[in-house]
Amino acid sequence: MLRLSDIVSHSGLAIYAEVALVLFLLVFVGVVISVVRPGSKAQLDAASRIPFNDEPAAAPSEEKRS
Amino acid sequence: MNASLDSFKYDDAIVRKFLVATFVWGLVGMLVGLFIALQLAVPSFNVAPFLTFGRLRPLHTNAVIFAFAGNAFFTGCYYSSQRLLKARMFSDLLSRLHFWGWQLIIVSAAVTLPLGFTQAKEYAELEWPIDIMIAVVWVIFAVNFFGTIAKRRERHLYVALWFYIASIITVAILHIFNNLSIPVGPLKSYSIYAGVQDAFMQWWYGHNAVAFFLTTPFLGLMYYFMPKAANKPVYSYRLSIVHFWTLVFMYIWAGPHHLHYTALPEWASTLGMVFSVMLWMPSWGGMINGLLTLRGAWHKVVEDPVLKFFVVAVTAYGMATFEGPMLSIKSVNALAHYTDWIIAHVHTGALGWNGFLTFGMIYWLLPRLFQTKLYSTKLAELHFWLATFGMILYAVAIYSAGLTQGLMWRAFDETGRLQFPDFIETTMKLMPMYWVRAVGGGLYIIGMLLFGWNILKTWAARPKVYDEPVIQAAPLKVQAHKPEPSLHRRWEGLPLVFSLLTALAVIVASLFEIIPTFLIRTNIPTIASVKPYTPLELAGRDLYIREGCFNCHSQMIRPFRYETERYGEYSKPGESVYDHPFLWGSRRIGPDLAREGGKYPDLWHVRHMQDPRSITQKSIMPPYPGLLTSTIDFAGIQKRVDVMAMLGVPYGDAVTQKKAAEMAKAQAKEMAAGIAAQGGPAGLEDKEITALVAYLQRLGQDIKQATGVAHHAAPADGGM
Repeated sequence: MLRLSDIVSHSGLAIYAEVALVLFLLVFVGVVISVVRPGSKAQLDAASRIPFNDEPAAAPSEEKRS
Repeated sequence: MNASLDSFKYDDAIVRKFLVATFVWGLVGMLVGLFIALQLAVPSFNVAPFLTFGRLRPLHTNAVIFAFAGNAFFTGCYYSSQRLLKARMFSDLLSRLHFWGWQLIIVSAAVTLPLGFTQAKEYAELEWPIDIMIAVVWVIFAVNFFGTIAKRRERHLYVALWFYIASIITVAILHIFNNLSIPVGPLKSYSIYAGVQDAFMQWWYGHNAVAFFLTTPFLGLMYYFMPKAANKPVYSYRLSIVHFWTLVFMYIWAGPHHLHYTALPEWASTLGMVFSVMLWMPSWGGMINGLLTLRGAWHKVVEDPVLKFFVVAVTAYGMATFEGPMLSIKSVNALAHYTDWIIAHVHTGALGWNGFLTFGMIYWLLPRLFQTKLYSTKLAELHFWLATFGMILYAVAIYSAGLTQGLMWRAFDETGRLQFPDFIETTMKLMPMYWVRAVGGGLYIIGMLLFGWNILKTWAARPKVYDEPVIQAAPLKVQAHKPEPSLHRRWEGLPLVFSLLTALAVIVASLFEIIPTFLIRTNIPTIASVKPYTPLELAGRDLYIREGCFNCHSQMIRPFRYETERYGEYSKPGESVYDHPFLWGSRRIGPDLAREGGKYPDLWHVRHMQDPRSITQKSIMPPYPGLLTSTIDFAGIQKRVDVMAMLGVPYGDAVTQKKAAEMAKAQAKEMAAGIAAQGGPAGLEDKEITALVAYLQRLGQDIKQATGVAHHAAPADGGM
């Protein structure tokens, strides 16, 4: 009886694992570059203050988005 | 200007509800934990069938994970999401449905688990109707959460929200795929996977339940509540982004480290180990980020119990995420697997990380939610010290127990024989540590009671009517939309794309890990002599599942000399191809049973189940006298066999001729006659004990017969 497993094991899918690995790595490298690139600092600082935007009086910094 | 602002209120009533549920279920879950800890030290605490260790242990784990930690996550998630998104929850109705649905699930678990309804998969024990309920409630939560994101008034999604998104998506995927099963009855089902595949699915789920139910949601809470409590932004937002993506990419691969040296293919095991070791880095990045958030605020830690709890929580996260990668290294795992070391490891995580983070968060929330002062900071301090001391006692005792037993199992004497051939010797050695554990857990629970008192008294001092401040914020569409220079910033502006990417990372990784075991034949070589269980043995197997025997007995002998000397030939992947679900187990409180078949006469098993201490004087196993009086459900056997056949188990005549019940009766009659002839009780031909013994006597027999491997005689103390 021809089983699904026979088809899959002979269809040479192994290469896709390597392709996925490379893609994942590229995305990850992209993320790292985008956060360490110069110029990201101001935005990141602003983002890190979002939790304090709901209580203006207690905010540790006056800088806010929008 | 004001015309363009929206006015709205936050829904804090739902947060208060989840907060109270967190405490109540936390206390219940911990009390059950203390009770089962005492059962190991004093087996006579196994007072009734529904209060035996095997049935209560899953209740403890489910209660603390899904009821305590689950409600804690929802508490913090509902509080912080509304504020981070500047929006009331999408729908008050969905919030209430989520809350009451989740509590209903917990109550169903608390009823069905002690009654013996279980799928026998760790942290996925709940049977199929409850699984469907969980899926529905989870979808309700997801719709409510993503609906809130859609109507948010803050463009940027703060990092805590990413952790929530990843958790919600991944838990849904894990839950659905691990629980796929075919119902046999209203509260009974068989997993569609068998043996190695089921084990692989289960630990892909099991490990990621830890990752995406106990870690990422709580990291989200940490990234919100820690900066709030310290009144300082997180140390490095940059690091938090890297922390998030590394966890999402790596966690999903780590599951197979729960199956080192089992019948799992070695490539999968190695893959799991490598990813687990790599996980150490992002985890410690997160820990450092949490701790350094307190830079310049350390003096506040001295006086603020909230920060004290947070500091210990993050430290425990650091310890547990160092230990986890270490335990996933094969050689370390060989010693730790099946021992209390793993129990100590999870408790560092659960008591330290989840518990302390929850306590800190709730102490911070209490004055804000009940709009009054915290009843007593002193009591909170006392809670902190009791919980810390209790946790240390627990950890020290159970680490020692794990190392002790692991080393005793593998010890050989100078003649090359096992130094402790009687399993019970290694159990007895642990008794003092089990008592210390109970004391430690007791202290932690006393702290929990003080916590409850503080909640109650703070609640009692609440105002008659809660003040609900009106919040004003501009809707997104009128906010000036500057083009985002960075690619990552643009993704986050698109929550849907962001969520899809997260889901994709999780799914692709899962597929690449799981598909090969399902579809590539060479991974699970079949063994011609391995045959399905007879209908009676299958009924016995279901009793083994009902009583939760798998909680204390593994059925997986690893290929080490000290294991094969003690238990017999090591377990092969092909041996469990008909096991829906697999029953390899993860802890040996009692000995492995993979080759139990034929070691002792039937009557030995009957006596042993009736009263274990009449056979092994110091045994800590619960007695099961009820099995000798309750009758086998012969009428239900056909249906069970049919479902197994549907899953691909070759049952032949038993299915096509509908002869399952007949075959079971014939086998039971023959066995009962044999037991009576050996001098045992008569009239067992329709009693449950016969089915269970039939199953136990079958374990491991197929390979023995095929290869003719010589086996060691029963140890001397096992004789009648």
